[in-house]
Amino acid sequence: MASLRLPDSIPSPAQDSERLSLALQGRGVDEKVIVWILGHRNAIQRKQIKDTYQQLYKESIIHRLESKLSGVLKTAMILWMNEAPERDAILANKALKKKGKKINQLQVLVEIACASSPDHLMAVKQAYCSLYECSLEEDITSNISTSLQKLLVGLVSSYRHDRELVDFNLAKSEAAKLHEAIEKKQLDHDDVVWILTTRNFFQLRATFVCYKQSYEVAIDQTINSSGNGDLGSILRGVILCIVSPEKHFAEVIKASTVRYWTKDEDSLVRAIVTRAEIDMTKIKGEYFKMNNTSLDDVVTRDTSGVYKSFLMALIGAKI
Amino acid sequence: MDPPNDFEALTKAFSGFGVDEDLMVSILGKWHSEHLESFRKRTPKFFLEDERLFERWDDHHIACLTKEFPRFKDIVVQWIMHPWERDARLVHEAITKGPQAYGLLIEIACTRSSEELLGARKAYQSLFDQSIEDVASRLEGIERKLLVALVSSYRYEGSRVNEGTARLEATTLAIAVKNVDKKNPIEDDGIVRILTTRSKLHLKAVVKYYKEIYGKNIDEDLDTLMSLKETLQCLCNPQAYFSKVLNDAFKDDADENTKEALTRVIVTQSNVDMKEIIEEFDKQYKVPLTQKIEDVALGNYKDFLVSLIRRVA
Repeated sequence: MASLRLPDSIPSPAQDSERLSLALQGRGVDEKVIVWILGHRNAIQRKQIKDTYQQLYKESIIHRLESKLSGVLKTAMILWMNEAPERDAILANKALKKKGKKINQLQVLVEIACASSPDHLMAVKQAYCSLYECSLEEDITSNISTSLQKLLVGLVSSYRHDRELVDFNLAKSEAAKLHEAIEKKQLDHDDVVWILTTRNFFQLRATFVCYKQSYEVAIDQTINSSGNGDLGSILRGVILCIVSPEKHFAEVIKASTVRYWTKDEDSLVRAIVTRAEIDMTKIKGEYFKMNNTSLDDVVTRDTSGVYKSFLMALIGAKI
Repeated sequence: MDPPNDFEALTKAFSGFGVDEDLMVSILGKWHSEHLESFRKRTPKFFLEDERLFERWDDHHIACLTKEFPRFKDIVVQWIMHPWERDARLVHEAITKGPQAYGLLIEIACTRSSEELLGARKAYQSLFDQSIEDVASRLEGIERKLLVALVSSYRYEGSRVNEGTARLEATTLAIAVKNVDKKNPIEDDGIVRILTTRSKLHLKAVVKYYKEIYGKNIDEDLDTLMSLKETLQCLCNPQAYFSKVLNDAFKDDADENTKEALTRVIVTQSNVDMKEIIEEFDKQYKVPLTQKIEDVALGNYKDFLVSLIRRVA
């Protein structure tokens, strides 16, 4: 369930564009107005504002925001104003090109492939080709170590079936195949990659349930205890995103904040911006279960200024 | 009525791609039982003397006719069909037929544009309730890895090519081909990645650098590696590939799968690069494609093929 709250009556895109233009004029910038408007508009409304602003002022509102805003607010607002496929293509590119990246920065690729619909993944790939003049698969190949390439390329190449069709016999036999591969520490075996990257999500959830039934331990725990390094870490991310994206994002948010400051701004912004219109309410529920604190309180505590207001608006916090 | 000529004409009407419907109507429609008996007795090509004293139609020929009569229906249905559904059905047919039809999977995955292949994948899900890559991951044979990756590809289609990378990959390919005794290149993750993620323009550059560095065309080194050869040809020179497929269909010893390609290639390429295929065919085999079709095809089927080609020639 989306956490974004919309006002009861929404001004027309022209009215919104006019107020935004005023806020972006002159030497300063009225960040509060920008957040107040854009932080309370859904994807369709934001697109209408973008198109109307372009028509009225012959300029892209994103370019204007880029030149006037700064810091984390700018990062968050630019992501928010891009349409979802372009936004995720930008996030994927950023993660791939980052120097000295850590394994958890590749989570965004897993999220795009496993925590959203197959149609969205395809749209991200199309956007990626337009924006960066090469395919997402090619950039993964150029920027990721060989040991992780097969799985990551496989994950983003797949166009999974979206119907709830489960073959329980297959689930059982594939749970066994996965178990064998994990025991033998062959996590990059072709069968493992194909099972995880080509089966539909419902089939995989059934496979993971069969796994727990057959071996009395959840599959991600088996991977954990076999100590399977970077590949294991990615695989656990894949499994969690397929089974419970809310838990995954709650963990991402938890890992990004430490009492009174945010140690990983990028992850916090990504989690909130990409899920505000999808399942942020559920994520907040999981977060509370995990930490006995509400996300609203943590964002209030660990962020500040207009940036804080923006995040609060997106997570539907009571101000 | 002119029995000897009629018999010859009627025999011809049954002996090619498709059947000559008009001729059959004009001759057979006038015959009485004695003419039919005469035809049966005087056409050992189609009829055998059964031990119980009647002229029996040869089983093999009946089987051929079962394929020849519907050729017109097939081409009309395929022509009208949405290209996505057409490709999805072709893929399904190929998967059902098994390893002998893997070439068709390669053809569709490599000669279609990124959007066309995506469309075929969507249609496949609607028609068969599974994704193509899901089914492909359970195929038999060493081609499996290559096939799964090929059907999953969504290639960049712009003009940017990294010449340095292309040159490097030409060398990688050459080394893999040289070491074929130790490992089949299509079982190598790195080679499969190059073939299935690079843009077609990039792969053309790779082939160009291969020639520059090693002094010969790469397909000269790939004679024992058919899947690899076909993959590269479909990606880099589809006109030559389709030209060859057509020529194979015209051969005397062609089996039904090979003959079906005549319909498939003309229908699927008619709005794409038929003109270039016609030119290539002419160059390679020294006879115009339309001429060849006029020679071997019959009836409505022939007329339909020729009109599809004439639209672009």
